[in-house]
Amino acid sequence: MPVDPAMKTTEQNLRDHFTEQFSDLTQSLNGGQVPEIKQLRSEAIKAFTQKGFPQGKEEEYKYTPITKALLRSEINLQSPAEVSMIPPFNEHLLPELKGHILVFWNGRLVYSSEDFPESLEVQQMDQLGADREDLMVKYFGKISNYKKDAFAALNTALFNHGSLITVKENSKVDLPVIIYHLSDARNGLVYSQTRHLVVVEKNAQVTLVEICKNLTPKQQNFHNTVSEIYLKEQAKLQLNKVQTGCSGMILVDNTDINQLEGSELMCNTITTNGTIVRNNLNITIDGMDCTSHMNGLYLAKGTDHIDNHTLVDHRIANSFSDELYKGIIDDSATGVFNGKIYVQPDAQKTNAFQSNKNILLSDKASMNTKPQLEIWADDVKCSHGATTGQIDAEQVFYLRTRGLDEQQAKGLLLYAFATEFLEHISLPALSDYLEQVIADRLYRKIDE
Amino acid sequence: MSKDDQILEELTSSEYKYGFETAIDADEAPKGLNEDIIRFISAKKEEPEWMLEWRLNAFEKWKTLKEPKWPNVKYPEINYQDIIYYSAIKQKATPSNLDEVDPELIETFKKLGISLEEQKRLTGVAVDAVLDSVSVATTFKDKLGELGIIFCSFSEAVKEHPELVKKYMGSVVPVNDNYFAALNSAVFSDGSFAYIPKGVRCPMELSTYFRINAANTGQFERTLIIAEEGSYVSYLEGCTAPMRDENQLHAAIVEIYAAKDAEVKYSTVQNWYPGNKEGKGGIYNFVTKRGICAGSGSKISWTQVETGSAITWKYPSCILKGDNSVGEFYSVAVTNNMQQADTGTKMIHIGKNTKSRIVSKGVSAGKSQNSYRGLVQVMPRAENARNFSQCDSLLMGDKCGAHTFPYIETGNKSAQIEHEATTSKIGEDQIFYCNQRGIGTEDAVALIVNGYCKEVLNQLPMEFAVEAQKLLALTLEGSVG
Repeated sequence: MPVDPAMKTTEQNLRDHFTEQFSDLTQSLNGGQVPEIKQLRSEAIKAFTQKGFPQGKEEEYKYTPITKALLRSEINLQSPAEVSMIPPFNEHLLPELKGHILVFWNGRLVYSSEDFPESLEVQQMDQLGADREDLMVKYFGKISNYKKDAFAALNTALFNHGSLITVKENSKVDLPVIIYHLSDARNGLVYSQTRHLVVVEKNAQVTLVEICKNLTPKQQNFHNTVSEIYLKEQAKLQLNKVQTGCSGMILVDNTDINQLEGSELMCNTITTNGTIVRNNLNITIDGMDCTSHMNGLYLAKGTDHIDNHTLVDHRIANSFSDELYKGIIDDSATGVFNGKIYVQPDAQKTNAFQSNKNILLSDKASMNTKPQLEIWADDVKCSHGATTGQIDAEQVFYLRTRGLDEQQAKGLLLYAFATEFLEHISLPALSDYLEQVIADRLYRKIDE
Repeated sequence: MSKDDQILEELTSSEYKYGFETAIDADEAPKGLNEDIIRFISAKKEEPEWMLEWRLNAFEKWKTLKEPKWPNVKYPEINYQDIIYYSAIKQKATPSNLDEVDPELIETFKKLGISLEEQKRLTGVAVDAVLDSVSVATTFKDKLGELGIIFCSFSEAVKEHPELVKKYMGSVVPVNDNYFAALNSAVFSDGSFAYIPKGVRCPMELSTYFRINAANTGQFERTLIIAEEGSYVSYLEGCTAPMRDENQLHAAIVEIYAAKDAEVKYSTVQNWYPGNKEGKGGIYNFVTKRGICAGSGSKISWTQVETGSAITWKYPSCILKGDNSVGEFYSVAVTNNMQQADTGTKMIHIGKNTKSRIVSKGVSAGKSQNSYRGLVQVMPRAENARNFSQCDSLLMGDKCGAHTFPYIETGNKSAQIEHEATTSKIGEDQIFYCNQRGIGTEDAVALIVNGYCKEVLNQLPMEFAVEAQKLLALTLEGSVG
């Protein structure tokens, strides 16, 4: 049932709409034949119907009025129609960045490389073979936060497209796997959902890049994506989330990562625009000697709203996690950061560090940060730090004594502040592209 | 309301209908909370009409509020109809000398280094004539009176200085601020009132006076401190001596008003009964404390040492409204056995060039849970606001928890906010070092904890700092080894 445009849409309307959509679609949703998946989907819709979209003072969405934004926008809530003609998308890809490419257009896969090496298997979620059923039953929905997060629940219940990526034991995938999400509102505003499941088997290694882009920046497309990623023993993953073309978008990204013994994770998230961008990065550490690095950079301007929520749950002893998120907030934009570290009673000898640094450039900019530690084990070293301020006047002065004018000095310092992020990205082509994005952004500021 | 509550309420109010008139001299109100009880409390305290109205209004607000569920503490549901909201001080049989007092209590006093005379006073032993506490108190009162300082019980202030009470009561903590504040506003028993006139520097710690004249203020304490332009006062609440109290629920309110260039220093040492090792009994300490730096250049400083209570839920806060005003919060919260603490502060920067500093030290041992929860909020017009926060947690044993929930909301680019937190355990090397030098493990822990808390303890008035140090060691007794 489409929502009556004459009637003022309320959260209840939205909720009802999706609940009804679920009962209409139950049979056609993929995986509908597998009882476990079917069960999971109905649990998810139940959780969603009960909880609804976050409202009011709900702690997790306290600073991010995402439901209001959804109600204000005129998104067509019907799932987008089948793509009859594949639009040209080449111009939207990063030409220098080579890898195994998947392109999703408004939530549907429109292109996939075919030259996958033997160690890598990529399948579409809506075309899974029967041989993948076991894998789905074993991993799908197991670490997703759908019981607590309304968007994850909505995705779990109603997604139809996405990818299943597996990397075989003891192998290394040389080229990165690159997933593009393109939203295009030329035929009306788009609501799209994608779902990815990644399993990196024992001692395997891979690099993933996820690039999200709004091709019609003035239109408020809504994209809701969930990724579940499993790192088996000694597996290594570098995950790069690139949200540099999200102007006008409402984007909710739930990424849940589970790490087993000795695995290594490097997760880099960069956001440079978006009406509302909300990243939920949840990492559970279920093995000893794991390493998890999380880096983030957000540059917000205009009325952008960028929200990063991260959670590292140390359940087993002897692991290490390190987190650094940096932000520059300009104009009337808002930044939100919430970093949680849990150290469970059994996770002795855990070292967990977290840092969040913010610079505000304008009187109307605001930043809400909440670094949070919850610790139930005693033999640990945990710390967090958070700062919000302006560029250090002494540093500006130093540069000015070297002959730079104030604008140049500030620009240089901002640039240096931001580009630290790039040091963690091992793909030169991506790193160069992002450096250009940051430079364009911050040097333009200098010229003004 | 559940059926049981309904029946209970009917019962309690019906009891009033028939029995109250004659029972007017009773020292105790029946259980339960309703308008009649509030009228009863107000009548008992011989309050003017406006005070009663104020209480009733608060009661109306309370009925609309919900008990907060967000603190990181767990306790069984409180039945608010099963509480006695008014009871006069009971005259207990006074022991004639210290030999008759519980020897365990005397042992504790000795460890804290409390003087013999004071031990007698605290245990209710009749004090000999030479050191008559009443006369000392009177001397203090005269001295304060000369300077125009008003320091009396809250009930007295309601009668003697209604214009001041009317003006400031509820101006910092509004009646409907939160569930427990509304409850306190409706049924508060008594508390202290202090007024420091313009330009006066209070010559003594008001604590000194307080210790000698400590009155039983009951479970719903209410304190109001008003510091006029350019004045200074230091106030100490509580006592290092263990306080046994039958009332499980304590919901106090402290309001501080600081005018231009005034400075108020408020120190708390809280050592209420924490319950036994299994977590049975113990006080629920749900307190709303807030100060407003209303004038420019004013300063409010909170220092707290929290070692008691089964559950502590308090956030002494500063509203930095005046330009150039300063807020400070120094806290040591120690939890052992089954204690739970959720404490911290709020610093609301409204004026220009406002500064705040937060130093919080948590120590958790046994099976306790210790949380720091704080808010630093910089309003868009608060130019050049500056905040520094540090919250450290120390863990002893693998059954306890330490948690930090700092909220930092910055709405002005010129703000400079720094927050840092660490969690760790006492270094084995440090203990080993002490052992090597002949210091037992227990003493070593006390030594290390005292060093760790020093920054906060240094803020306490001298004589209390010494006692507080001993108190920390005492609270952690038996938590190692």
